[in-house]
Amino acid sequence: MPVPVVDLLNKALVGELTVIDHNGGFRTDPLIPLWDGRHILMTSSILFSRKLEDIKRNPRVSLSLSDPVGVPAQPFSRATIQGDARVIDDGLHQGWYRVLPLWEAKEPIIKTLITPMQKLGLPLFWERAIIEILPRRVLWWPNGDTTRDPEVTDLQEAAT
Amino acid sequence: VKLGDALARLPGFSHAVLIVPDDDGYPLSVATAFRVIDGSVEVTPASTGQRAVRDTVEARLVVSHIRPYPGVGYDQRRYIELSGALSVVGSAWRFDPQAARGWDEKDLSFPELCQRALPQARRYLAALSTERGYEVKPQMAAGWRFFLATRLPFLTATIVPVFLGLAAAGYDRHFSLGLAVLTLVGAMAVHLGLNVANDVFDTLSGVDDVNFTPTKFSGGSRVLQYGLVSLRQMISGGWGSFASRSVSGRSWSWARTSCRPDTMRCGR
Repeated sequence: MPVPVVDLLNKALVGELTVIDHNGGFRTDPLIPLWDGRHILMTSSILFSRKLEDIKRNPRVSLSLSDPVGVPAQPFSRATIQGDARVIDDGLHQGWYRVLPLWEAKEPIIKTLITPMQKLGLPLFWERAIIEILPRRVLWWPNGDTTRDPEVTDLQEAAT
Repeated sequence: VKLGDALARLPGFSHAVLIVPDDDGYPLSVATAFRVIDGSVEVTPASTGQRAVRDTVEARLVVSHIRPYPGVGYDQRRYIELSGALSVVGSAWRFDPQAARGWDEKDLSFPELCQRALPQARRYLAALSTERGYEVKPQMAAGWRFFLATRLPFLTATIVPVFLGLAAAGYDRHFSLGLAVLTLVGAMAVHLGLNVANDVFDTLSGVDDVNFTPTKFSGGSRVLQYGLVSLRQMISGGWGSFASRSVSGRSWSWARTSCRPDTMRCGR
């Protein structure tokens, strides 16, 4: 993963995740992207689980880091990451806690929202799956100018 | 989201993300500038390298916004996804939207959004249960489920009047600890049983299922809607509470007629 894109991933409070739905069309949702050094990780509540169903049917996804406000990196740039996603939902209740340190670094308030008392308000929101994306191809636009050609990194080729 | 409403809101966003099919089956997304002109969207051409964007009827245009609170999180969440056809002829691309979906937390609060999404959560859990061959349910510790299902904090509405009555009895020199305990237990059992029965009947009638704006004082405990407790468990819990009330009531009646209120010595 190119270093500037890792920086974007580490700073991003929001990215636009696009999945392929059951009709073959696209469905995009804003989510918090987390980077563990190899995968892009996201969590999704079962309340908003259509994207999870879509990923299980077709793992090909695209993540766009585009918003100068939601991605407060300096200098600002933009990136699109295409990859293969998988849904990890064998521990809906607490399995996703393993990404909590990464999530908390971006949204510190989350720690106070997952106490048993706080969870009572919206218990199903805290039943969550992890979306794990293995990046395949990265497009990076320095300065965020997408009218210019991006720097393209094919991670699949790099791996082989 | 109505298409006209979505188009009217688009200028409030700084940029859009255009999504088109890639040659090898992945979605390809790229940020771009845009402006709305007569019901369609003019999109600034964007470069995606060697894999050029082509005309497609399967394009999406997504706008989103959040306001970060450094060290806390964010608010002002809103996004719109337009689906439609993209034409890339000429110096400005043209996107003709056909449908829109989205969310603005200013119009639809996050708690209400979650309540409206409950059927999707149930579908997902049902599919997961089928896939695994056993029932996958949301989890919560038994104590918290009891707390939620019985709406335990509302017991204060029963306990306070009972204590007032006991204080009055004490003032009148008719206080009996045994009768006081039986009174308190019976009143609490009735209250809890009624709370549970209220949930059962409001779920059976469908009222709670269509209440997307529950508060602490209306809409029930929602443990049935959340799948935290089964209907059978709730009915059993309700009967259990009423049975406890019946036992304590009968005991109270017996003690009141058979025992000396001051010493609670019973029998002749």
